[in-house]
Amino acid sequence: MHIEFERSGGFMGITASCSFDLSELQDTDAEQLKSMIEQLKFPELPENIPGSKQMPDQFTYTIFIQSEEWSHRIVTGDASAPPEMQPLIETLNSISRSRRR
Amino acid sequence: MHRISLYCILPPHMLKEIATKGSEAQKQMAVRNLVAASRMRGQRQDARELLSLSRTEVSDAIIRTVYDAKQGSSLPGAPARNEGDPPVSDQTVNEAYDFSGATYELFKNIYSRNSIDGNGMRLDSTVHYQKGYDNAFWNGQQMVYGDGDEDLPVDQQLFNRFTKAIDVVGHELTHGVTQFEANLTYYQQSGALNESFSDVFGALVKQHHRQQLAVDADWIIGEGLFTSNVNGKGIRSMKAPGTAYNDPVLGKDPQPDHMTDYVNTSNDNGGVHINSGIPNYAFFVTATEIGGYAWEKAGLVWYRTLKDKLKFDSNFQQCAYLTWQVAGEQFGSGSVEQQAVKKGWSAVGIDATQSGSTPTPSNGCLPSLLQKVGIR
Repeated sequence: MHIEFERSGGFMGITASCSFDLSELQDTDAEQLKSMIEQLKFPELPENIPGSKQMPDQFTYTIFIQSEEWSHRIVTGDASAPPEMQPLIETLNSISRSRRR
Repeated sequence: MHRISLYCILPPHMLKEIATKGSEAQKQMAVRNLVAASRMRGQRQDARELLSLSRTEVSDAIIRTVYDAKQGSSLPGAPARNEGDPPVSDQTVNEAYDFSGATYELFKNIYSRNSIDGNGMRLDSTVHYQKGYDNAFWNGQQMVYGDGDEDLPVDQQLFNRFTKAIDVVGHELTHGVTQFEANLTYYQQSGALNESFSDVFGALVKQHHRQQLAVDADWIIGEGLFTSNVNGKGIRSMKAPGTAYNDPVLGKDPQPDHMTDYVNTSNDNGGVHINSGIPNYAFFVTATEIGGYAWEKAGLVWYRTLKDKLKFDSNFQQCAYLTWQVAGEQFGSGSVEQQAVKKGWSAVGIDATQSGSTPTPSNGCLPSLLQKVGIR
């Protein structure tokens, strides 16, 4: 499974992104992430979960996931992402930031 | 923002009845729709009066509550410090509390503004939002602050907690002020102005708190947010846009300081944090040209422009003209202050004596109302 994560906006206004395969993660982390994606039924989520352009300094997240059977991209924001999506966003954010250096 | 509902098609007189007699939730929705319509017509005074409909009492003193999200996403979180409570052991809570107070003081003591809405609105903050959330934002009703990179190993940490910088708190609260005044659309030039006004008043909160002259201030936004792992002074420089940081991981500060370097991009809502460097520099030049304390004259001109003149879709040229106009009204035509405003905008390549083109009207009332309530 291939994942691309982009975070833009925020107080600084810069864009940060990462791209990786699940196989690059440790087994437990990969399993946890895969489980999150399955529980969310990611390919069935709306493509644009209304990110509000009116909310200053919030992040906009673009998540693209490609498995063997499907691929899907969603765009969402800090305040608009439904609560059940927050763990996935936080996990991807953590992976992205740990790969900065 | 909520989706359009029944409240959108009810006539104003009915909405006003709901705003005074409905349940709390009904009142809020009715007032929100009435205010959006008033703002669209540029009727700010109507908007302020409508906001007072749903309140049974208005406070003339600051009311703050700081909440703790305990690294979760649910807002506002658990109460951590209420107005009048002594300092707590959590430094982040105390910073949010104290710096909200400093922001309230600037607007109240210098500009006679009673809180964000001018009507005694509570100042609510949530700290410890999520894990590894290196950001802060205003959500339309409150401030939200992350802890930076506390979840990463020390050598990977780039950001400290976002309450550390007083101007960040001032910046976020000013987004609230803008929301109740010009309500500048957070996109392209109007969005960059929205960002700039937040940087301007964030900087003035810091300078006022320290009682610093314009010439002695550092004019750096977010000083102290970076860890020692970052090669940078802060997030943005109003004195020298584009020089705040140059780091192998974060990259180089992308801000321009002149219209010839305006950045056309689809990122960051059309570059609102990038192109804000241009009006930021115009303010810096204006303030240092006038001299003294920046909040007294330059800040007053900018505040009056935000409060009384700007529209939701104003661009840089229009803003420049309006600040020039306000300076003339406040200090006299041809005054030192008005000339300083002209010089400030000239430094970024804008002739402030020109009014600029009329904004392109939206495609009818409904799309404009949809935009105003956050649905595009």
